[in-house]
Amino acid sequence: MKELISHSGPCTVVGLNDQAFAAIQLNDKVQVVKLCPPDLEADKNIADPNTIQAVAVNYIEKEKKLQCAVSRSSKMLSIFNFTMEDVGKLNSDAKPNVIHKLNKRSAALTFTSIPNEGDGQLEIIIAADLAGDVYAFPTDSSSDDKKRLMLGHTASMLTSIKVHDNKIFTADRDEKVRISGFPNTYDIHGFLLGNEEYITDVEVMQDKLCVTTGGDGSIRLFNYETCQQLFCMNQNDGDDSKKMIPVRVAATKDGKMIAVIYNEENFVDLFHITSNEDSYGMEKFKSLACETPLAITFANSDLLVLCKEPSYMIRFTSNDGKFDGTQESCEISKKVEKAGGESGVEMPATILETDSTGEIKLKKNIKEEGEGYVEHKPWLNGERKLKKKEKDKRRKKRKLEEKIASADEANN
Amino acid sequence: MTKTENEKKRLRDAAESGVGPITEEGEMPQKKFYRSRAHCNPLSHNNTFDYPIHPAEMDWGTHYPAIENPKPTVLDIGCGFGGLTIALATLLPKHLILGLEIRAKVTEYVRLRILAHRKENPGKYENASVLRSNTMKLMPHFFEKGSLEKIFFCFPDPHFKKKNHPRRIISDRLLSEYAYFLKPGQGKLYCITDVEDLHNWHVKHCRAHPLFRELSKDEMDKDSCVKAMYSETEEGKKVERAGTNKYYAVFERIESGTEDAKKITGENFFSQGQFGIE
Ligand SMILES: C[S@@+](CC[C@H](N)C(=O)[O-])C[C@H]1O[C@@H](n2cnc3c(N)ncnc32)[C@H](O)[C@@H]1O
Repeated sequence: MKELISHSGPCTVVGLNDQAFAAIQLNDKVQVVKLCPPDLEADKNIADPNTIQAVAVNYIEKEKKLQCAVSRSSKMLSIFNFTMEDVGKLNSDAKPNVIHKLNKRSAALTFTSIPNEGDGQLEIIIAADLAGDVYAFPTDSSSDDKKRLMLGHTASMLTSIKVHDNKIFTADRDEKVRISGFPNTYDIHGFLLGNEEYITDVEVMQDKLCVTTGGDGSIRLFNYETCQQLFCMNQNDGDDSKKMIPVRVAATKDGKMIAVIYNEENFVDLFHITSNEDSYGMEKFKSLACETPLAITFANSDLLVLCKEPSYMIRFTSNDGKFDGTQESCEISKKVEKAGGESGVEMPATILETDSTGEIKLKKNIKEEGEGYVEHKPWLNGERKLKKKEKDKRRKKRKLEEKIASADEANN
Repeated sequence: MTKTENEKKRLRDAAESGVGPITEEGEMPQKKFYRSRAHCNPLSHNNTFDYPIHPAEMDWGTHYPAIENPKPTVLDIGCGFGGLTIALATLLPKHLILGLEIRAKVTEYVRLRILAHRKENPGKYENASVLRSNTMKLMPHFFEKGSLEKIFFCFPDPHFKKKNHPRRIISDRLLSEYAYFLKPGQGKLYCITDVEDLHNWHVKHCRAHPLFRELSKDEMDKDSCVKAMYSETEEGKKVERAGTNKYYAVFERIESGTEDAKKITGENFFSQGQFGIE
């Protein structure tokens, strides 16, 4: 999985293959800044070390500060800190202010903060990695080598992470979303179960609601307080050859609407979250055409979609929630298109990694042999016992013959 | 495939092979037919196990047919050949004991052993069962929050190399899961090993976890389960014969919110002594 778009306050960060850009709305213009990889030499064994795995942005309103984060295949996590005052004066290229070396690649990032005992708060970045671990790092340069293990899904891989309502949500390549306390991550609140394959994304909303998307093709609505599944939708009819795999989900601020994109499809689906009394539902009310969407996010009430072709970023305007298909050619997307175009970016066709045979890597690859396979049951083979009996018999006979032979010898 | 389908297939296979299984149910199995490679990789993603999507869907009835509405409350994790699982069945008659084991053959041995015990001692051992599973990955599918009274880790694989420490069955990460399953203010985690370094690791990680409290020597002495854990497992007996030391400790799951871990604040978040700081 890759997380290639993030929006906060006046800023949108996108990952275009191996280049990351921050587009920042100022009063009179949009400033686009390229978020450059660290100068450190990357491990030579890593192919395409600069490929973007995840991006994140956080606008700190009170201090008029922007924090951007980019994680790459090189396992480097770069953090860029800007003040809004500086932004207008920035060069088009920005170097990271802080670099953290990760143990494993991270394809899910989120900024958050821990309140101080005294005034203010500690800003941190949280990275979920491909070994199932979640680490927190400082975002300022004064404490480069500090980190804290928040939690770990043993023997799994994390695909999405959210912090919300004093809880941290981590989705894995098995079928689970774990909800732990935050910042007391050692105290697990519960698990969201129901998905039948790997989970691709989790989005958390108001009213204790959250949505998961997964490799089984499902989109599920949960109450995260009770960990109960409220609604499940699957638009596939069981034919695996043309299965639609939802890969990303984003919700509006009020939690009344979600947008979903699917692996290698050409549209974004919009759903209303419906509720009356105790029953919940999701109703599709729109499919918006766009070429191979890779990432989505709501920006205010509009929908931003990052696509493979041809212009990288499309903004669908809300028009009071109607989403009638109006694509605004906004300043930000134009700038991103220009920046991407100038550097000749080639976009990936999917955010799901595949192996050399084209199989999705997150999927379980079950070998039908050996101890790991459920149907392998050597103890049902009673022949082994018979064989052993015969072997024992033969051995006894041989022993007896030997005895007789040696007795004979002694007699002679 | 569901449990019953599996069972049917098992019987069908047995019938087809003509000679039947190595051990008939109710007969005491011989260990020699069930020995297995010493190690499996618990971190492998591609092994298959039967498990329900949700613990509520788990049918424990096939495991404890004589008991109404059964739900296990005591786990022997990595039960091996099942000595402790069986000993706990009579020591804790009011609890349901479940041995969990990752190796298929060994699990089958324990299953047959329990069935044989049940047959020999009518009415007894009905509260013991065994399940093949990888507990490092699958516990949330079987057990609900706060549903367990005791979890035993007896002579777990030591995974000596530093590179393999993530395979250890007691770790910061997994302790949070164990705390989730254990009943707050009551649930206990038991661990014993003959490897002193591993014992030190157990103690260090359990002490560092904010939701566990170490039992005093006195408290441990009063607990009959400690004695059972010390002497009833196959590994424990092996160690006895070799005449080397056994090291153990017991921890109680405390109520959430009563942990004396200092409140987590921006100031102490990255400080030594906090959970998750090396
Ligand atoms: C050294 S043996 C100890 C057996 C038993 N407790 C005793 O003391 O005799 C450790 C056992 O743990 C099992 N095991 C290792 N990892 C496991 C896992 N993730 N889930 C379940 N069992 C596991 C191994 O297969 C092995 O049988």
